[in-house]
Amino acid sequence: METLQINQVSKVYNGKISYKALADISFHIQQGEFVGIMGPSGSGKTTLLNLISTIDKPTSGEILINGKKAAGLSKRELALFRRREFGLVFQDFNLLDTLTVKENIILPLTLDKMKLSLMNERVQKVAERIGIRDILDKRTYEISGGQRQRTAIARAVIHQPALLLADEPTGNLDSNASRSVMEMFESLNQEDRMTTLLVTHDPVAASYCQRIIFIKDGQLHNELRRGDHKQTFYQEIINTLSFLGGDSRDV
Amino acid sequence: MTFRQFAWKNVTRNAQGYVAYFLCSTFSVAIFFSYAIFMFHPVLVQDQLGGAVKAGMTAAEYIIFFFSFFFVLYSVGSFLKVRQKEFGILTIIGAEESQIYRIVFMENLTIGALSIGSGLAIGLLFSKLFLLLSSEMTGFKHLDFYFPVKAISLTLGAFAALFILISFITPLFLRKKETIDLLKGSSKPKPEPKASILLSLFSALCIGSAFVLTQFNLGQTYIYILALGTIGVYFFFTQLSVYMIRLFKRKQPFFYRGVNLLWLSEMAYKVKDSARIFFIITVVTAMACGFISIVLSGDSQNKREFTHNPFAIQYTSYNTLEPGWDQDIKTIDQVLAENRIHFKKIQYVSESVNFMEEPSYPITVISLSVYQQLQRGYDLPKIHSLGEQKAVVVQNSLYKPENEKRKTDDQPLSKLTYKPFSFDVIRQETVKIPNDYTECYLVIADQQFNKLNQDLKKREDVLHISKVFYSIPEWSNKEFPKKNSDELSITNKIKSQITKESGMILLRAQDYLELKQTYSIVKFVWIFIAAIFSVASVSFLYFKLYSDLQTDQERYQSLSRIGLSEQEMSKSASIQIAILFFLPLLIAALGSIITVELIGPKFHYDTTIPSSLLTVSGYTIVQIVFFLVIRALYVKKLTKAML
Repeated sequence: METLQINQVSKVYNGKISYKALADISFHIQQGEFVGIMGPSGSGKTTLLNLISTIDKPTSGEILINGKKAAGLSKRELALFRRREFGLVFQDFNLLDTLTVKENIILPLTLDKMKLSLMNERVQKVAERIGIRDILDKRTYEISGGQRQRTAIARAVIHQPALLLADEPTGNLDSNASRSVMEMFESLNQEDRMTTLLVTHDPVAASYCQRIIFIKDGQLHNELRRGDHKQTFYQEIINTLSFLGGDSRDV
Repeated sequence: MTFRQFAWKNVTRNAQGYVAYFLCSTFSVAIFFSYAIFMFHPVLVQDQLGGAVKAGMTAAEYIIFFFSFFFVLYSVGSFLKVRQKEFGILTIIGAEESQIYRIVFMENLTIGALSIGSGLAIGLLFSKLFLLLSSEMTGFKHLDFYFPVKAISLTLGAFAALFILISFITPLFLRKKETIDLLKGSSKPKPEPKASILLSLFSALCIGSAFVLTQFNLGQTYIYILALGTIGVYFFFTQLSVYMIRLFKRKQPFFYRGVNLLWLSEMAYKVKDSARIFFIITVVTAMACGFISIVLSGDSQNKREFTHNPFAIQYTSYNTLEPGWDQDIKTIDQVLAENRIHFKKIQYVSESVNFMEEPSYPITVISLSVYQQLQRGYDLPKIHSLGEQKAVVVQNSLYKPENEKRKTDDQPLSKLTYKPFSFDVIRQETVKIPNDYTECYLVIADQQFNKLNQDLKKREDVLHISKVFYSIPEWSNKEFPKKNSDELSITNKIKSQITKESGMILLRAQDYLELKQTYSIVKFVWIFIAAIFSVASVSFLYFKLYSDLQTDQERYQSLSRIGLSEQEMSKSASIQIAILFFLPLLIAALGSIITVELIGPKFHYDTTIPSSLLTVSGYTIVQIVFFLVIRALYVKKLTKAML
């Protein structure tokens, strides 16, 4: 079954000079896949992510999540759509520092007025799974960057979303924390069959994916599939990136 | 570019940042000035107002000025807070501390000067309207426009001093801050506010014991009640409220439901941050509401006395032994007859007697037939007949100090002796006789009264009182007298012809109008002050909200990314703003209603509750309007941040 279908999507920003951020992009993601999107700065990665997460609307084309279209929904319905269909993880963690770790994780559930016992049960389960049970009552400024990102992941998956969207999740982390966060994504994907879409600059992070879609100047460039060896995959990613941009800043 | 040019460009290109501060200052100046125009108006200056009223009016100007000082100081504070980052950047690129201080100093002087100018202009522009309004409310005719030289110079002097002082104070706000703190400003995460259990308990204890004390009536206790209440309210905002929010947060079924998690988690920060503002707003609101309630109670008391007083003229002579003591009474009769006014007269003699059983104050003794005449006029309880040794005590509760009333209530007098007379008290009545300062009457049979009278006539150490009551059907006490009525012009004539020093005259319409005039001025002044307090407390809250705006926008934006809808945002933000608005108001309303009811008896007010409720609900309605406007503006700003 296809979790995400992107069919001939274009996005044009109108201004004094119209700017085509995405041109006629199509690709599909199957349920249980772990897909990465890479590309140099300005290639349209963020625009694509915004379109998928319904924060922005495509100029043309359609996007289907689990066969459902977000186009035509009211703002309120869109917010609910985002809340229920997606799990979102961001570079800057996006946690509220007035809440504890536990409160941050259950926030989406409280907004849906879920039963208290069910919420507490779920938060215990997900905290166990993500390995943050000991810090549930801590405040977000009392824990490390890696722990914050894990908290964000826990919040993103607690309602069992159709698609986990991660936007540069390792961007603010050191290499150790990055590794453990990426291993968490990998394990969620392999053991819980969590469909995941990762947008990243980081070839190390990208090498955890099964498949990587490269875009450049708003168009699909090529696609890489992971073989048996992560190391080989990493090398292939580096090669593609240097071919794409020749811009070592992005690597 | 010189440094001065830089400072100038800083202001002109960042005008928006300065506007709020400028407007607050202008507002303060305009208010102060408008009030000065009113206070120095030639009509009021020449009028024979009571000294207390004039002192009160001057006090109000002081209050306005005092409040302006804190208001401007506070707006400077929050204005500088928003600009902390700017000062941080200036420090990084190498500006000296003294240079930054100079910018702040110069900016303050400039804004001060500009706001004095615009405040005066606005005040002058609206002075005609303002005087019209004040003339309408105070009942003073001819409060016409005049060129207020005195008011201008007072405002100019007062505010020039104020802004210079504030310009010197403001650099202190910036001192002792590290550059890194300036740069980060208010955006760094703060640890959860802590509340001390002891102080929370102390606050609850203070408020609780203030409530308990209200149950006892021990004369001066209201001072302690006020003090306890004020201390309790201070710690309520700084400690108890934070503690209560914590308790609420422990209630998972409530906390983990809908947007409660969002607003309640932030509430402790917001309350703790603005605890002092809350406290000031509460005290100031309670004070304004309290004074207005007292004035309104007095006003309605005055009206009640007028409508309950059936006698248009009362004359008392305190020395009937003096030859020609009834000269004034003849004058009154004559003036009334000249003007063809029909009247009925009740004239009687009463005796002030110090009975053995009640030595603390003399009791006024009257005969049954006189009582029966008064009874019809005042609608008192009926006494049909009295035996020889029997008597009825009639307490006039209207002007009795609270504590004495209790004493006699507790131990009813059963026997009163004044040798050789002795009376058994068979009944005790409590009544309210308007415009009568007699505390207690003893009604005895006519025969006995005559004997007592004969006996007392021989004694010189006793006051021999005679009273005359005029009931005049033409002059109704159902409608309030107008300034051009017959009643007023004729009683004026009478008043000017009264000569006796041992006599006292009460003229219903004149007394009513005089009091009414006083009340309406005091009422006007306090409503004006309440309006200022109301606007000022709204601006305090506005500043508080806007200093948090950026943080809130970022929060809601990130929440919107993970699927918070606009409706949920609006609900959460509205609840927060509503608490900021109405928590202090609620406390202030309770405080003022209770305090005024306690103070009421000191002013011989029957009850103050209706006036208090009227005042508090009026104030609340104004605050609700402000709340709706500010909530709409704020939510609109937040909506812009939503994706």
